[in-house]
Amino acid sequence: MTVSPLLAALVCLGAYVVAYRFYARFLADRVFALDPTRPTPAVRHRDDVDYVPANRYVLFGHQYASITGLSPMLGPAIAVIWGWLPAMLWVVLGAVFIGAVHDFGALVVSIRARGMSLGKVTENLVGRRGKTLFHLVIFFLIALAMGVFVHVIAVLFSPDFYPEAVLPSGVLIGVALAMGVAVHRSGWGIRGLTLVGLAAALALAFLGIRYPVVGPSLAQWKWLLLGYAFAASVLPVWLLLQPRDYINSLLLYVGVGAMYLGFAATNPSFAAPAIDVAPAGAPPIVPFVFVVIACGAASGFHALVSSGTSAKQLATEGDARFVGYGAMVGESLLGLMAVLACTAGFVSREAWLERYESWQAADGLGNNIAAFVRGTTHFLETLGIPEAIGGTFVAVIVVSFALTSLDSATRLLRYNVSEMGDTLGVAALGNRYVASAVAIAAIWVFAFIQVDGEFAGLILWQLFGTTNQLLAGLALLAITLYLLRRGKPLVYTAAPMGFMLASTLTVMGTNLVGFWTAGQWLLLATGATVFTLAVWLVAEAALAVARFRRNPVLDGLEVVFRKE
Amino acid sequence: MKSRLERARELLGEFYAAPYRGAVARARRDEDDLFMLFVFAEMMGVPNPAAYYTLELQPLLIERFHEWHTRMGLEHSPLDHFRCC
Repeated sequence: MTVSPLLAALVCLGAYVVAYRFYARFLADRVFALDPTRPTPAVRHRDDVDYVPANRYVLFGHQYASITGLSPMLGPAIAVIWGWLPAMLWVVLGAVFIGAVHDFGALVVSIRARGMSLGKVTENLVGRRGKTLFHLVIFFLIALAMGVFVHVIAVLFSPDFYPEAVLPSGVLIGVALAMGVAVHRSGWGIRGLTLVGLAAALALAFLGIRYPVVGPSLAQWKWLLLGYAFAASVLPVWLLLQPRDYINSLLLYVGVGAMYLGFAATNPSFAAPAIDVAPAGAPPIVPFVFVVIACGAASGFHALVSSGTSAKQLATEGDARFVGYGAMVGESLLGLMAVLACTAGFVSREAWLERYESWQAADGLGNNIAAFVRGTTHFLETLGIPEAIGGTFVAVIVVSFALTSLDSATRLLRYNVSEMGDTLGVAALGNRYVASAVAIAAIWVFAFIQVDGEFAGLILWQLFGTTNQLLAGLALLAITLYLLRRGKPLVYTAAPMGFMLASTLTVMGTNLVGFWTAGQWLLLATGATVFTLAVWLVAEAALAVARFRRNPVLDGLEVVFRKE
Repeated sequence: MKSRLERARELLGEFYAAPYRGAVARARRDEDDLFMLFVFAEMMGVPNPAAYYTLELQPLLIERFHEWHTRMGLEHSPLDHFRCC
């Protein structure tokens, strides 16, 4: 029996709609007890700086653009080696029952705690040790992910892949800088700039094809990218981050829209098998598929966006479902597109097998992301976009996602380093240049790490995946404890938490044995640290539950801060 | 039609500004804080070659003085001969 990808995609879309309409509504009413008439922090603490009630569509757009990066494309592009079905099931079911619940819950708990960030909420609910745990997890999460991103961008820029994308990506940074100055210093209107920015991004693809940049080696690209990340982390946000984020979000919407249109117009058939339980050299499908696809199904990183930024701008509690749950469904759509592109975007089974021959063939990660680019380019071709243009355009989108993640995440890592310096009493880490240098050094370690002379791509990717799930577990713990204190049903957040922790621990355990036998000491140390953090989290959860059981159920929905 | 375009532009502008409003405002405030320090430097015993000129600015900044010194972590005015609160 052959299943049409279009039909499969339609079933998935149906599942998203049903989940959003019914499951998310159920969570909103019964579990989180959302009440549109309760004033949110944006209303109660309005200061027109941090706390500003924002339009729900604006907020959704921002939440969606911030949580969506390279990861929802890369994860599925690796995981389809097990066939399209497991990847698709996990992307949809994981998002609906775990990822979106997690994002939604983090947002709700944050608005009930005066819009505080997850770190603060965790400190309050789990205790001071919880905060330390939180900081350490984030440190590893960002350093690992950015190490991988630096590598992936460098590979994409290399002559074998998309040297056409170099010039457009570079010029886009320049366009962003100019836009930042124009808006901030000269007060230019946003409409003209939007048109100019979008037109530039599209026109640049032609320029890139005309002038591909070949020259720097892989290592030199990595150094350049680290330099860029350092600059982005110390420059004022209005100059680089703000306009870049903006252009990038627009590209995201245009890109995803065009890919789905092209997919529907192409109406392809699957080149990949539905399921291949044991491809050559691959680890067991369960639980590895859950860790390889982190973003796109469930990701702890989203809690950082949900809590803090979005929570301070939510105009009514009723919007939380749309912004929290809805944006995650949106990200999952991109994950689904990645699954479709990497399984149905190939012309034949042979072409697919060539790329997904064995687990090791995927190790450079470049092949995987190239599979995504090629698949989506194939879809765009049906819309009349020539292959060369389409390919460069998608490659530029992919690179600019990775670059925006790199610049904003390096800044986050810098803040994280400063806060840890504060806890440890190292004043020098408060300096933004010192903190940025430490952040870059951490990324550098993972960007250059090698196993047997090859970049440790897949291993790092799994370490990132586990750390990301671990953070999701931590956020779900905070949400569950919040619900426990208020006598609400726990299973909807506790079960995902258990699932995340179980898959994280199994994968890490398996990996640690591998590192030990292979004598990979740096990876072993990193993996052991993450594993210890996971065990620590489980212990912390058990302690907190035992402690909370003794306390009476609270009446109010607000989180009461201890010092008050 | 026209009002709809207007609305779209408003939303776009909001989409541009909203995520970074806080960070930009804080950066601006940090710059202002440094400026306050220049203006009141001489009074705290820090020699400032431009003191003669910054003196003129003091009356203009006096409204923000209280907010500034409390933000710097000082409950009362740090200046002996300059009462605030």
